[in-house]
Amino acid sequence: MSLINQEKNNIKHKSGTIDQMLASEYFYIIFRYLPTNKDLYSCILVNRYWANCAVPILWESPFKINDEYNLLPKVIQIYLTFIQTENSHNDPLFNRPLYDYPSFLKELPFYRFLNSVIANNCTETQIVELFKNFQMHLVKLRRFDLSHLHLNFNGLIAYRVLLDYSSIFNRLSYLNCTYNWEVNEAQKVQKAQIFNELAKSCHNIRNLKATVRCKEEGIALANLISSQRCLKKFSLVNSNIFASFSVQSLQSQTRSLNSLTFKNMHHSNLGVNAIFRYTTFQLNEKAISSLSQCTNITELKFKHCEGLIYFPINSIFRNLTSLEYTYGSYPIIGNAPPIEILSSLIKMNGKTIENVTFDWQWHYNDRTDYIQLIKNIAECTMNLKYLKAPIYTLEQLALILHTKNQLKKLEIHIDYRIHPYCALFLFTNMPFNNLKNSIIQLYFNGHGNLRPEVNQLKQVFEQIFYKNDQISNFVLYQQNWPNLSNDNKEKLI
Amino acid sequence: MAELKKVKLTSSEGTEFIVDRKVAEKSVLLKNMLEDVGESDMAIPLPNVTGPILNKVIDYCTHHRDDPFVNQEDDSKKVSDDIDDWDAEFCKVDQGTLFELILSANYLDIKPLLDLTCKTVANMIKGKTPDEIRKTFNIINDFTPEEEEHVRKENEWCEER
Repeated sequence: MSLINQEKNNIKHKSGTIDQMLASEYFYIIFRYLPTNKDLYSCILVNRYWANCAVPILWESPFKINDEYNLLPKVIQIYLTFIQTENSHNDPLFNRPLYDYPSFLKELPFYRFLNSVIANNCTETQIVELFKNFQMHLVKLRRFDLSHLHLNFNGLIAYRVLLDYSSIFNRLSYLNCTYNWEVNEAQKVQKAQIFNELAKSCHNIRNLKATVRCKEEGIALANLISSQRCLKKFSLVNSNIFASFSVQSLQSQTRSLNSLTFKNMHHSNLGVNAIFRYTTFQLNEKAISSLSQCTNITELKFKHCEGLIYFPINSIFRNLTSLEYTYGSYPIIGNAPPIEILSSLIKMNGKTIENVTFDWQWHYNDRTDYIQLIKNIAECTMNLKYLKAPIYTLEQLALILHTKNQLKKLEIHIDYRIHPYCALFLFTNMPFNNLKNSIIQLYFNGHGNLRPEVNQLKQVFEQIFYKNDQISNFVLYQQNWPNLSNDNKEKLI
Repeated sequence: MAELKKVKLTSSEGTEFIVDRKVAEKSVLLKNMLEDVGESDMAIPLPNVTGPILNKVIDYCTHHRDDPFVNQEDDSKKVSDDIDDWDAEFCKVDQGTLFELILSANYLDIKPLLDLTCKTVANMIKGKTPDEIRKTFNIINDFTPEEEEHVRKENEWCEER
């Protein structure tokens, strides 16, 4: 515990100050809302009581930073002093740290940790010593991130600390093991060993993100999934057909699993020497069919999953509230979004769906199945609150605007074939009872020659807001246009 | 209809408040009590909540009576800048009232109100230096100079970023 007096200080405050009224539990809640470590640092320097509340939070995740190249050698130096402390028990001159900093550690992004270790010129032996010290200080990590491996190290160091200091990891609730390091066969086996080792000691993972590239990894991940008591979120990233084993094992989590994400599942290899090429969605049909048993899913996301050709479309996910299909920034070659699958998912689960995100750059060819998809959104999703979708014809736009759902945010990407004025004309003439307090964002993919003059656009805005003053926000985006929003409303009217 | 049923609440000074049961049930404490007691005209005493604070809490629960229950995941990111206009206006009170609202929200187990009031305090801290925080909340620095220097040194890594 802290060497600072844990008791509230005895200095008399004016009645009703925050320190006098709120116990430390409230400070823990308040401080977690602070956006930066710098804010927490300011709190630490306020007084003893605030320091005692803020230090444990700051040191829960000292490596959680936005800039991954930012090194934190001083954090490692503080940790290293604890190794020295163990060796300096009887030395009265040794300047012990004020707080038991290692004991607060809850979140470890391994790559950033190793970066900071390297900045201190630590050896691999010292890294192991640090973990030994973490175990002595009863560290129980909640989140462990192995999304990258460091060039100076490979999977072996992660496997070694997992094996030797498993008690540090046995309370994990979040695991990200999406690193992809395929230099040789031995390293493939190491990731499988990591999964198998965690399967022995970790049974409370709720959020699991993984990458699987070979059979051993697929089977080991299936082992890890099956050993969990209550897996809620599962994301499969940049994986190939061997992940099918793992996906089938989700049958063991059907009661708890509520979020399923597939990301970057369209290419066969992104290894060190790989040539990038497009393939289809990698999971086999048996694995995808098994998903029909995961009926408690509320969130279903496909991100950059070109080539998805099969999904259990007649299944009802009775709690599905969010459906997302995003292509990312890659162009689609000889392929199209799986309109029929998405259309069926909307139709079968429309009663519960609240958020729909369809995001792609696809050259529409007047396909009748797309108008059916829009019709299904308009007719079946009675509780829709957020919609992002591309619109290719005025008929489709009119269908969306006539929906009787509870839309709060509408984000429409309008194809170049729709003249901006025609689209805006629809907005000026629609009854917007169903868009009360909503946010509308229009993205025009128009040609330069269809670009309206700013003054004309202002007139359209004026009409929209005159008739529809209950819309809380209306924004137009177009490259090279001045973006307009109702922040300018007062100026316009 | 169940929605029209009324519930009597008594504040610490004995002031009686009559509210819709649906409004009262925004408090998990009251919801559980009402489920345990069943049909009753007896007033529920709330000895830890003063009349003016209970009045504010009822205002909040009435405004948010139709909000769905949101079960926030433990590891979800906490942000303090998502307060809507009504809630922001609701929290424009003196510090004593704000802290009492925090205590009452916790006692009555109204998590959205606890989150809102704690976010409001976090927003009062955000971007301030230690000295500005002390001034804002009328707090005295009780560190010895040596202690303060020691704390500063051990945690200075986050000032550099």
